[in-house]
Amino acid sequence: MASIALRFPPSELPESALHLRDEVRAFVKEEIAAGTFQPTVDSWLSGISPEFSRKLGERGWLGMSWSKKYGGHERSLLDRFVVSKELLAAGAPVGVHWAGDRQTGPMLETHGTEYQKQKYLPAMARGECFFALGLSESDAGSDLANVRTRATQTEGGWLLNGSKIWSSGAHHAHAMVVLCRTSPKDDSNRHAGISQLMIETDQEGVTIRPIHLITGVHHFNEVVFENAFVPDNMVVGEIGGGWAQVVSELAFERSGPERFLSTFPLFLEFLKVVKGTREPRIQEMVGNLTARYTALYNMSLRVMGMLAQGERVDTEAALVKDVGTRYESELTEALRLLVHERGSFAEPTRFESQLMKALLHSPGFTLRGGTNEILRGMIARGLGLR
Amino acid sequence: MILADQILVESATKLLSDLSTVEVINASEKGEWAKDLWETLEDSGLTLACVPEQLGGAGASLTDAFAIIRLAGYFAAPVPLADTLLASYALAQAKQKVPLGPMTFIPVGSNNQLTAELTGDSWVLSGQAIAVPWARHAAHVVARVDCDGKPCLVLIPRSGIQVTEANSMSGEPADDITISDVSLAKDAIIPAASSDQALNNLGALTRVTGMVGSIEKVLHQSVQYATERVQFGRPIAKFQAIQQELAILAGESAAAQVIVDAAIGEVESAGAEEAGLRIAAAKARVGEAAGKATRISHQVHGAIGFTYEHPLHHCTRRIWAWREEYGIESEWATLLGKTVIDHGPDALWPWITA
Ligand SMILES: Cc1cc2nc3c(=O)[nH]c(=O)nc-3n(C[C@H](O)[C@H](O)[C@H](O)COP(=O)(O)OP(=O)(O)OC[C@H]3O[C@@H](n4cnc5c(N)ncnc54)[C@H](O)[C@@H]3O)c2cc1C
Repeated sequence: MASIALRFPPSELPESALHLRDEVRAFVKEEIAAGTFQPTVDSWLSGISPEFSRKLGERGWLGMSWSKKYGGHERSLLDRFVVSKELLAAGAPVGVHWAGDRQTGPMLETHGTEYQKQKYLPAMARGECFFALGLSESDAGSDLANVRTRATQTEGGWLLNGSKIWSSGAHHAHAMVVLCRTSPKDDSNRHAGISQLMIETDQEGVTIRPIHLITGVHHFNEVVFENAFVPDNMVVGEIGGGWAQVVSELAFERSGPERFLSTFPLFLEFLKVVKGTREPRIQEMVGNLTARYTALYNMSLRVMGMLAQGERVDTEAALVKDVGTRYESELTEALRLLVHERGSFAEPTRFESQLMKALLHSPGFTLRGGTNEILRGMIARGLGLR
Repeated sequence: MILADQILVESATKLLSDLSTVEVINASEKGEWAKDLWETLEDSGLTLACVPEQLGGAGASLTDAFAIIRLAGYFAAPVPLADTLLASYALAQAKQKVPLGPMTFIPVGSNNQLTAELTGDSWVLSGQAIAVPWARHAAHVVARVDCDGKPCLVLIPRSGIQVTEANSMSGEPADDITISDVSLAKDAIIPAASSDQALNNLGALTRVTGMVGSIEKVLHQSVQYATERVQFGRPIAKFQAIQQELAILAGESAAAQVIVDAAIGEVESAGAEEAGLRIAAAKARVGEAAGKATRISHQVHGAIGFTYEHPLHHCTRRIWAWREEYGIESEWATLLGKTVIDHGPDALWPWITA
């Protein structure tokens, strides 16, 4: 019946994934009980704990889908989905490894050289090596192809000049894949002449400057390259093939459960606050919010099911991300109206502090990794409108 | 999860797209019974799809029956497939042979003022019921009535009821009926085998399933229209404002679809009564999608979509009408929310992801 190529075929978690789910749930419970972390909203941005990342590495919960040869565990994307969704729902500190585990690792596995894979993937899978994303620039936001950072060929490699901005957690990262121009811009083919080069954050010619969020927290960075030398063996994939590589990398970026769960821990705090309430207004809202999570969870699971089958899901993933990221803020807005009392700012309750954090983080939800306007443009293309 | 039978879905799609035409739908609203459409559906076994063969049905799964209802929503089929499903389900659960022909179902509730009284050795049925879907065209009405304090189903032939015709917002029949001292045959009184809760849940699920089909249809109609309608020298699909709105509509359609699938899956695995909360979630979420889908699809169509001439209203009016039936979404959301609050935060995520 569908004349339109939007598909959400049913997907179910296999028995093995359900076991895994129970393991992760038990682990998270123990860690919370032991005081390792306190659940927090937006934990994949703000939960910084290299120690926790290493614990996940020990359990085999990083690099899950990568080849064993490179320290991975050769598990399905559905298994990875299960681990991600459980950690996010629990508000666990997964921020330092998130970007590398989600997209840089798989991209390196596909496009990296043997040397690069041996050098980085096993350490990433152990939770000992973290990556930042070197994509955006001051004049290349939504229009990523407008990158101006350039690399010029030199003896044995490339010299990198320019700067990246909004690089999340670059100050915690060991390395970064930088999208740059390796030949001058050609207006008839904007995507040509773009490459991905890898740098290490402590190398000569690389300066990392902090940029603070509206909360005052150091999250973003400007990363400046001044004749930073990139040896030939740190070129990722093909020179000139960077655009196609980054586009396939971004498919991983859009499809995960972090696109609807960033504020879920706030909902759990809220349920503690309203425990035992008989107010129909609150009951109704809780019902509506639960229903929306249920729909999003099922959409996300179905997209992951298709990805695990090796299908292309660009439009569907963009769609889940659009609905999910808008919902992350809508939830916050709904909950704040249901709790009347506000206490001391000196000693806010857990709900109050998480509510403030959710609001202060909310602008990022619909911007990061491609704005919702851009996503809806992609959906429109999938619908055949453009 | 049980998947709907592909062959059945394909043949239902073909049949409905051939026979549930604009003309048939409009004629139906004028009061004409869509005889060809119904009979063809019936001959293909689609009207009693999930009734076991030995009771007169096609022996397909509930999932199949719901797939047919979704398609009926997509094609705005002006026949009581959903109500026949409910009536036949109730009868089949009670191990009753199910008659052919269109049926409607009257659940317990304030709209149902029917009573049965034992007079001599036969039961006599009287009273009223209001807003009964398709009553005027039903060959049989199945109503939930207490007999001797026990929950029973009564199977009443059309000849035993007086109908005051009325239509719901969709233009489909929603008649008031009166029954005056009709003596019932012994075998027309059947002890109910499903709880009222189960039947009410299933009723709600038929409505949201129809809505999913209709929402899908208005999405397709809107995309199609946007690529054809030219303003300022180009198709309106080229305007970003239109693209953004239709992207949102596509998201609502997908959300509605997956949550209804989850509810149907739970009815299959746990039963209609136990699936109540997931059906509540579906009612709440699809109700929300309904508001957005009708708004956006009409906005994109401009004035032409606001006319009777244009078929957009076949689905938008059905969406609005079905949203009101078997409990508005706020009631269902409150039920779900109450349970979530009672069970506390630790139970929530396991439930959502179950
Ligand atoms: C929390 C967070 C973390 C991030 N982390 C990283 C990171 O680690 N590495 C990295 O490289 N980048 C990162 N980014 C940057 C992110 O990718 C960009 O913010 C994003 O792509 C948008 O670019 P911009 O901010 O320049 O906005 P712009 O592109 O300038 O957009 C401004 C506004 O204009 C709208 N707009 C732009 N073009 C169009 C169009 N064609 N149609 C309709 N509307 C349009 C946008 O939707 C937006 O509303 C991060 C951003 C955030 C918020």
